Amino acid sequence: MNEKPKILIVEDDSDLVAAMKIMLEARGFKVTTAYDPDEGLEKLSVEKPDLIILDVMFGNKGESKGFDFAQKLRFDKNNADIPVLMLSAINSEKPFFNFSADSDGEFLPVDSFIDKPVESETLFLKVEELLRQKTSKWSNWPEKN
Amino acid sequence: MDEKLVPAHVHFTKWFIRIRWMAIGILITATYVVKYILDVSIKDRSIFILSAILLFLNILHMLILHEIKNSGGTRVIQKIKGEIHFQIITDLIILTLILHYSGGIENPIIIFYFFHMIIASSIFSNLQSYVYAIFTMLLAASLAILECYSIIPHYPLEGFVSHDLYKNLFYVFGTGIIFTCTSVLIVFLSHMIIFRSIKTEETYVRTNFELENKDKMKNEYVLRVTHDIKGHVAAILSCIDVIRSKVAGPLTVTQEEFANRAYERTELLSGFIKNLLNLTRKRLNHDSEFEEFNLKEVINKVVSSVHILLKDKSIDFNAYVDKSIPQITGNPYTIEELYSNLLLNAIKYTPQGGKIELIVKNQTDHIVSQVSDSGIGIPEDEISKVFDEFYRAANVPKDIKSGSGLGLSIAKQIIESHNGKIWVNSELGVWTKVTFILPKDPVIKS
Repeated sequence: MNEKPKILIVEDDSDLVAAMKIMLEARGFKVTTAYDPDEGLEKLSVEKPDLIILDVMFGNKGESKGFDFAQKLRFDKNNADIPVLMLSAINSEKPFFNFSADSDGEFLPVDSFIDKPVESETLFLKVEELLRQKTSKWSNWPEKN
Repeated sequence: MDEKLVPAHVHFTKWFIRIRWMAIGILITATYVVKYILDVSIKDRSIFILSAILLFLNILHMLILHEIKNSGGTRVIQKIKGEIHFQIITDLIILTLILHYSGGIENPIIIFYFFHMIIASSIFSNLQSYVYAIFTMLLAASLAILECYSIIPHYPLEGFVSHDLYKNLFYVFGTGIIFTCTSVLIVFLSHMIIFRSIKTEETYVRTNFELENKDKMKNEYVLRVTHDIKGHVAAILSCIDVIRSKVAGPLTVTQEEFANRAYERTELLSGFIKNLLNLTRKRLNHDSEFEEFNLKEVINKVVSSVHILLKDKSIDFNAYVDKSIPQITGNPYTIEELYSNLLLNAIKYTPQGGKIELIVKNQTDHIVSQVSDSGIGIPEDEISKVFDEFYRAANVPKDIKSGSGLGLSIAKQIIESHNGKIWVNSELGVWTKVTFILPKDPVIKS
């Protein structure tokens, strides 16, 4: 990798965004941020990120717009192969309702999950793993690669 | 009020039929005893015939009730009420005929009329109850008067009471007046008592419903607030992590120490919030999904997940799990949480080098599990409180910070949702033993 890998963070909690941004920048990544999924889609076409870090719930009402974003991304032919790391509140909040990036891609085509609160070491490990992987396993969504 | 009493009506009707079987048996035996053992003259053949008619009627009542229950549909209440009317009227007529053939008003079983009045007033409206009282009095009075004036024959109970009572006007009318007063009083009293108890029950049902609703609202509120708090705490943790992992620049030793302190305490808070969220969610979703699953596998999974913690504290751990433990029905995820919670609790409160034992036994229709530890124990006067939310015993050492006091409360919730039981025994400073029973098939048992 000659160029710095570019990461797009789509998350509405600005403090969490700031924390993740500084963590990732400290490790030499280029970070772009979006505070809601619509802004995320706009940034997507401009920035061409190598990885997207995506939240599930947005806004005070807790709408699960992250699901829609992930699906829209897979429909977008130019960006369908970008791996997505989902900031999951879901796995830790609903312990009996475990999502799997491998088997639940049908309606949640993401590559991996990371629990909130985001811990720096875990974040680097997950990010590096997905960057090595390069292409999302759901780039041919709804088929798995 | 009447509309709500359907199950009670069906219940009553079944109950009447059952009592009638008994009454028929007693009637036949009593007649036999009176006639052949006590040697009192009685028209036994007529009474046996009446018993047979009653028997036939009772079969008929049974069939009608069966038919009404099967037909379902509309007007079930009316149909059942009609059937109860039919039962009471035929009973009253049969009772009058039995009285006629067994001494008329000389026979003390005349008081049996009162039972019918109690039953009628507990089911029917005020007006209908008094109509029954009047009908009963008419039946009894006609019997007495017709016999008194020799319009119908009198069959005395020879050898029981003096046999000219039925002709004694003073006795006949005196008894009649007392009988009438008693009837009216019975109808009045039983009506009042039943009406009051129905009112009270309605109040209970309504209050209970309101309380459940309020509890649900409260839980939803807690869920929302906790959820919000959790988001903030997660952001705080990530921000502190930026500082303590030094990605934002170097720290002095003291700075690093305090960043770590802040991080650890916030982490505890985060775990506490997660527990509270889980508990509230469980409260809101009473209907956890049940399935058949392999309990042994779940237990093995839990045991291997706490293995490292046991090793860290050099705890001597032994698990005795019956090989014969079958598939059981329940929610495998909550059951896993249950075993894990109890083992983690035991580990938390057992000192370095202590002992923990897990015993799981297969019994006829339930599984008995026991987690015992050589930990700090629970003070005797606090054992009853261990299942309360946020309870922590007074003797918990200050350095055990990680307890939110929700562990046992969650365990109890899980066990209750499986119709099981849990209890705790302990000797302060020596040991604690948590025992719980899980039915193999909680759905059928409920």
